[in-house]
Amino acid sequence: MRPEGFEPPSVGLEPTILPDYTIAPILIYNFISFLKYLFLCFLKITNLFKSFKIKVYMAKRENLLPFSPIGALIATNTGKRVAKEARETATKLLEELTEAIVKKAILISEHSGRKTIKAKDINLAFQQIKEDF
Amino acid sequence: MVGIPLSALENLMKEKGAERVADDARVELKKILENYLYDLSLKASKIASHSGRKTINSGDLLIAKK
Repeated sequence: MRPEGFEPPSVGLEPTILPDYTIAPILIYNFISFLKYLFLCFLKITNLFKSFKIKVYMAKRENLLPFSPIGALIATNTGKRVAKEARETATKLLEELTEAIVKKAILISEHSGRKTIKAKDINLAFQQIKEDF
Repeated sequence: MVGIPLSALENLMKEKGAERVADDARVELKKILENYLYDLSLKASKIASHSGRKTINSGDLLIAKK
């Protein structure tokens, strides 16, 4: 049984009339949001946003060689699946190798009186380092 | 074109201390790295199949390097 004075909520397209006490908070809310808008405009005009500027620090990349082509090379050579961590270690190993080659090649090129590193420098550097890797 | 991009290699060489890099040098470095990776991956795949797996893990590559 319904208690007396209870009316079920209107459903569908039936017209409804809101009582007065529901309109008052809506008006107050609108007024406060309008004040907020005015305040934001004031901030923008006076250029106070400069003091609230947020600095975003991007994470620095550790690897300069890309993962995916190296993983694709391993996959095409062996015909097997490659784990995500495996290609990361492969890039790390290749970067270690390049570091060793380049440091040797710089010495060779400077000794022969050049500033540019040529192909023969790298070839000679790799032949001397090959046994360590 | 499958392989390591040449511009990435040039950036890597410049980070490691090279002042100027010739065009032939990076092609040579790419050839060396891919040959090195080929030998390493063949060893790693044998290790993976030995332990009964179908995927190559990071441990396989580290053991293959030693």
